[in-house]
Amino acid sequence: MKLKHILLFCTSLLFASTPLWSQEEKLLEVEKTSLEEKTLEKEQVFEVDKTLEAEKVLDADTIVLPSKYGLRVGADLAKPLRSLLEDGYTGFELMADFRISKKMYLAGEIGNENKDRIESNLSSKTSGSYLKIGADINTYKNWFGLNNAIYFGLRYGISTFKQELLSYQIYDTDQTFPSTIITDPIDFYGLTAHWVELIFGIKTEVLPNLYLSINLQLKRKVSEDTPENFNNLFIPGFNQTNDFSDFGAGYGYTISYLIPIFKK
Amino acid sequence: MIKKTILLFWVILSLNGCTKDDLCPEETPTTPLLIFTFKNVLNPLLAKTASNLTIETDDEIPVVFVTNTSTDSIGIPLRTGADTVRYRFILNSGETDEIIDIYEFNYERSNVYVNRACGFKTIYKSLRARKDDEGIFNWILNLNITKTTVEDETEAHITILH
Repeated sequence: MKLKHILLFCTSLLFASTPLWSQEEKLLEVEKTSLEEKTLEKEQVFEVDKTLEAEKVLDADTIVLPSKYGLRVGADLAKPLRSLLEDGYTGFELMADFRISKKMYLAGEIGNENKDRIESNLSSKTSGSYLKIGADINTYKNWFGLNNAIYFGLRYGISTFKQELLSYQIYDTDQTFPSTIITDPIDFYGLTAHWVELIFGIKTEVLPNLYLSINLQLKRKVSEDTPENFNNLFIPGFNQTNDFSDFGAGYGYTISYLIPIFKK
Repeated sequence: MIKKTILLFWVILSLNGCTKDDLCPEETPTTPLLIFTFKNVLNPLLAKTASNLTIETDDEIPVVFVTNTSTDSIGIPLRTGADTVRYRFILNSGETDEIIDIYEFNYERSNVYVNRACGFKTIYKSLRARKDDEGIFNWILNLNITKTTVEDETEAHITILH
């Protein structure tokens, strides 16, 4: 499972970052043209007053385009895709963020996930909903007029879910007696889990106000309700748990739309 | 072009995403065996080897666990699917002085979660043993249950004096 996430993240990173490369190429062209303009202007400067013209050029270069502030809403594409491709999984996630300063965004996600684990030794079903609240910080300095982001985020996640133990086989190192399979379903309702999450992601504006984003999430459980004589094999929002540590991982591939409210 | 290739790769990865869960490591304590030690009836502190020992279930078609083994301690399983099991303890098996003793073991079972790779194990409580009256020639002079709860294999649960 771990390998899948890593590979997925790397390829998705490539995919999501292609618009960023294209941005740099475009910008090189922009730089070239501006250089040409500058040389042209410099020749003119020699003809007229040197210092005065240079100041004017500087003024002309520092046009300030007001950046958009607003509510961005979207959905995770990875979860519906996984629902289609993977047996025993369904899920969706909606997200929203709101820009509060030049670099800071208040952000949150809400979602629902169902995961079945059908194995000969242990079969269980988990289903539930979750909420994640936090903030993102954009560390990427955009070139003129562009609104892309390489960001880090922090979230606090809460999940409420139920877990069903469907059947299990008694593990016995001695195989002489026929193995015992217990099919006596037990439901564990009203379980909750809390975790903190670190997010790293890339956002690109592919069309005006339309964003594609890929992100990787590293999670650490803070607390959980453990069912009696069983364990939480999956926590909605947290993803698969680990028997020997409190850490988990996830990813998202989000499409979102910015509803501009004001410009600054 | 590059986008298409990466998208294709992404889809293939998602399809190949199913990985097998970790296998249960051998050192993980799972369903325990019932551990016997054989001691000398004249001095119960001394171990005494049971020679050419065969242990099998007391069925028409017996399941044999130990064949012609000389040892002073042995582990045999209890049934995870029933509260009782009957065993034949055969000393000097296959020889002219072969002696068979039959014992029935009764216990209560409970299933305990281990982890997702190993699943569940069974532990046994209130272990009792009852000798079957099959004859006057017995080699087991005393069968002593030292631990009535069978949840691990660190100590012997039963001491046999012979």
